[in-house]
Amino acid sequence: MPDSSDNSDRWQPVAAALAFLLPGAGHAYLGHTARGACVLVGVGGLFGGGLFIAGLDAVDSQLFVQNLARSAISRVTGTPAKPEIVADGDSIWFLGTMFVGPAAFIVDNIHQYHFKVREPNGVLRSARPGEGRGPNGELLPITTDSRGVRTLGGTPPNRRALARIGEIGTLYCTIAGILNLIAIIDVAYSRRRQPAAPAGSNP
Amino acid sequence: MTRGSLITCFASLACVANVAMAQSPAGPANPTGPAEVGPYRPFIDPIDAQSYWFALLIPLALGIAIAYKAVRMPDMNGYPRQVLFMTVQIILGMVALALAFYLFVLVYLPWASGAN
Repeated sequence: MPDSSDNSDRWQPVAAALAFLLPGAGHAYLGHTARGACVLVGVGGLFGGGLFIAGLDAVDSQLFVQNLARSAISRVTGTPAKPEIVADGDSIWFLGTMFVGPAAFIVDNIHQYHFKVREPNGVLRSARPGEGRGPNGELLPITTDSRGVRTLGGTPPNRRALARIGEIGTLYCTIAGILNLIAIIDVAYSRRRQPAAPAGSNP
Repeated sequence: MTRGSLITCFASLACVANVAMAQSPAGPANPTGPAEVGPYRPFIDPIDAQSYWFALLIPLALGIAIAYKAVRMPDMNGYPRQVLFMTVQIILGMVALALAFYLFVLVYLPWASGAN
């Protein structure tokens, strides 16, 4: 949203915060509703498209952002930090995806705490074929019955996105976040839309 | 650093990531997973599109163009045309890169190794 006006009141922290909370909301706050709607369609479409293509595997932070926040809070409050240990995932891509806003963190938390399994030592990881998830996330391992026949402990809560489908789904979500970061920077340094001047008046 | 250079920097990063992932070697092609997993659930399980993954780059290019042009255009006049133009630009760029890598790996490298 290039603007040739002066720089006196261009810093817009509220608009930037709104743009982070909901893609396009920052532009709408500044009066650029159509622009905000287009950002929402673009960013939301890419994020939703990534989830549609690769499923929940497209968003997997390994909780590293959340663990960083936990340790920072523990430093401030003086209480001991208790980080979650997650075994697998593509956390580097979440560095881009997280700029989609709360939606990315909500999806990631659903993935971590409602679809991953927790090993007896507390480590969270995706279930493998033949493994299932108990009501509290505990791993239901492959067991053998009285005749020595292998029986499945359950079924994986979700399928892993493999190969190019996993890559492209992750790419959709990450690019959605990076584009929203561009939109956040854009609204953070722009001006509120001025009401149209009446016809015949001097600018 | 100005806003324009920041935006250009992140846009370049997005394009590089796009090309790098599109060109990366494929792993095992098993989109559906084991048979005991259960029925497909949208937005939880991946789709079965391993054999036409490249078609998914077209909506990706369209999404990038929609969001990027919404931010960068001075006014919204001619927005759909600009979005379409940028989408075609991205797709042609990816095709050109794929062609260049194809020629490099399958033509130039065998020729260079044979010449030595």
